[in-house]
Amino acid sequence: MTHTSMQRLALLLTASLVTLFVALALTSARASAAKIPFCGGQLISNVQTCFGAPRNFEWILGRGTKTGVCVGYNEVAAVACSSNGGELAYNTLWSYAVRTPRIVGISPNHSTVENAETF
Amino acid sequence: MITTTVSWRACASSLVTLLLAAGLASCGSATPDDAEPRPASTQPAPRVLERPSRIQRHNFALLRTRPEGLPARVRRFGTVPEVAINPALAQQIHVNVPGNYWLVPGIGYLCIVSDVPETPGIAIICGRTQQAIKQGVGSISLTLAKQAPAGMPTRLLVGIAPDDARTALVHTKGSVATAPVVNGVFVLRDSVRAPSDFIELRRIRGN
Repeated sequence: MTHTSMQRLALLLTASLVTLFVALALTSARASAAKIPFCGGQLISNVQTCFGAPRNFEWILGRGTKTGVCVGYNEVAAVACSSNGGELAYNTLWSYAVRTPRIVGISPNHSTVENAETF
Repeated sequence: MITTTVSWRACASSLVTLLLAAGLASCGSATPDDAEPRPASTQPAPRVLERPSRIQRHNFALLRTRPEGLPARVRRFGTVPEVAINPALAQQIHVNVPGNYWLVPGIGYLCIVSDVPETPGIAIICGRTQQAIKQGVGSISLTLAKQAPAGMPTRLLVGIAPDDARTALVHTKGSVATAPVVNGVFVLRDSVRAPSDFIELRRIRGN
């Protein structure tokens, strides 16, 4: 094999590997979206909302220690509300988009955000 | 020289084939077909409840009937790993209110899946089975103030309760609304613009 052919082959191989890795990285990012927490440990009530930082997500999840919670995003305060403390409230919005997640308690009594996540 | 050219083409063909194969494989994992279970070799199957537990069936009449399963348009949410609900075990909660509700058992959890008009997406509210036996599980939907004229219902609460529950007391800002439990289901629809503070169950015997 000539020197030029070897160079071409090396170039093609490198380009192929780069393409392959990019494709696999994009695929795995979509298939296993990481859970990103927000507002963990914060006190909330029905007049005290906690907002997370804007991020790209499809699902939102929230749970309060003592009272039910409503999870929402942007200006939508409640896309899912649980009725009692310890219950998990999920909502899938069917598509990924950059949104600001939020969680609020359903009672005047304070509750702590046990876990709130987007994914 | 001829030998070099043939080798070059063979290498290029092999690489193109490799790339195509890798591309097809990655497309397959990004868009799973709901109708076909994934082969065990590619990814472990998600953990889901195979059948309601004895305690779930014992306490909730809905779970003692043949499950309808979630419709395809709703079950496309896939899985919820923390609670391991099985969409095939979903029982429709028949209520005369807008939207559709299902009781879906999970491993140690009972969930209400709801598809309600004017509410984006699908909501899933899950309580531990033991908690559901004590307090029931309720899913609350609130209509946005601008979409609900004064006097029209703005709050909709659909809940499930164990067989021995007679009424659900819905506490909201110091007031209490009573919702009868019928066939393990209670519904409250009113003009309150806030979720309930908590729910309390009254039993057939005792409190």
